[in-house]
Amino acid sequence: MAPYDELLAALEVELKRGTLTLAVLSQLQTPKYGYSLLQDLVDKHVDIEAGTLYPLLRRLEKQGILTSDWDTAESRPRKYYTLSATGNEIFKKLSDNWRSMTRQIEQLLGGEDNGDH
Amino acid sequence: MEIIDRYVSAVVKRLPEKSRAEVERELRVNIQDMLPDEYEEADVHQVLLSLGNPADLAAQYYEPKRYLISPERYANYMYVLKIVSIVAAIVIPFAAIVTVLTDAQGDSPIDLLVRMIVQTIVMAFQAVFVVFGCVTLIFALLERVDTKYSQWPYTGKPWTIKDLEAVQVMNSRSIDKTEPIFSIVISVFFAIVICFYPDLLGWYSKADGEWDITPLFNAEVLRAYVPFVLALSVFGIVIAVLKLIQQKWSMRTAWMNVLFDVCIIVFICAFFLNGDLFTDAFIEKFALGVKADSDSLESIWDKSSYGLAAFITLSMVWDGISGLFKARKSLDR
Repeated sequence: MAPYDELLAALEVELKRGTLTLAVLSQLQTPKYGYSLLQDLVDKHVDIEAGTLYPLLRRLEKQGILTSDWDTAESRPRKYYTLSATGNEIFKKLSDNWRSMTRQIEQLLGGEDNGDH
Repeated sequence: MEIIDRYVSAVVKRLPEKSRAEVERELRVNIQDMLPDEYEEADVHQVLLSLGNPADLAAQYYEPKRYLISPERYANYMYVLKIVSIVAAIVIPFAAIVTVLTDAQGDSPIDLLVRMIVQTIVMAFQAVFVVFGCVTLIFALLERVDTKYSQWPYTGKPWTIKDLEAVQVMNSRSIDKTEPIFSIVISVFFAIVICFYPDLLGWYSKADGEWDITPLFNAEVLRAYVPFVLALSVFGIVIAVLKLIQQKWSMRTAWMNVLFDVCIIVFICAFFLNGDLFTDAFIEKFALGVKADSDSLESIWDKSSYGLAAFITLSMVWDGISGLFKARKSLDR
């Protein structure tokens, strides 16, 4: 049964890959630091691990989608991330894409139930 | 806590130097955030385990592109590696035999045989690194230098419908792989012998139980031809590699082939018509061998060298024309 499980896992990873970015961007309208963002996502039942999230934030920052700022006022300095102007635009476009994509997929998957035939 | 230091260091040492400080600072805060206010060793372990393998974590900080040879080029890379290995596998035993023979000083045949085998193994061992290294280096450079060549194979232009070729059938228009491989081997072999071991070409006679070689070429005169031999060999190899990659006659390949043939003809004529090139000693031995007297010898010698030159010229002309025809035919399809 191992090949079946591996195959399924690989396909699931492929399916999820882009959605994590979208999930992260959706939560960064307001500045958040790594761990608070992780908790927000986990609270909303997003299946993401710390080891995936932290590098992702940094990559998005390098691409100019996020901006960051160290807040040293508190006892523990933290790096806050938020969407850049470009990032905001990209997020809106991606959200639109996502909505139309899910609509299409939903149509395909629910086709038989809706009695299209 | 020391274990956190170890983890952080295991991650950042795998990152480019300029991003280390920043990643380390952030990673430490993140780890602290993930720990409860009053924590113990076990809590730290749990947090570090949840962050996972440090090498994997470090890898995620990179942009996706981290490879020497991209998956798109991999098939091509393996193909070239295979071809070059085949050529090396054919040339190396020859080279080994030649090397051993030139050093031989009255050794017994078994002695020679053993040394040839050892030499082949040694040279093969060296060649593995050279072949693998060079091919890999070239492909890795290609990967980085030009992205445009990763478009439609080697045209540097975007793919269009016109680029679709007729389905490959093994017929006269497609190039058989053995021919280019054979010509690479011949080119390498010829270049090595002419440039490094011209003494081996000669009249072999046995005197007092030892082989005596009367050299065919006048070493002094031959030296002037060496650059041309090298240039022609390189040219020949380039064309053979082109044929191997395209696996089909194109107009461009055919014209290059014609140019190559013309160069060969010019070279061969200049070569054979130069009387000084051949040693008198060889011609004498040759006369003895064919049992000719000195009068008829000259005409025999001249006839055979003209004949050989004419034969090579004719076959080159044939090769050039047939290449053009094949290219034209594959255009028409």
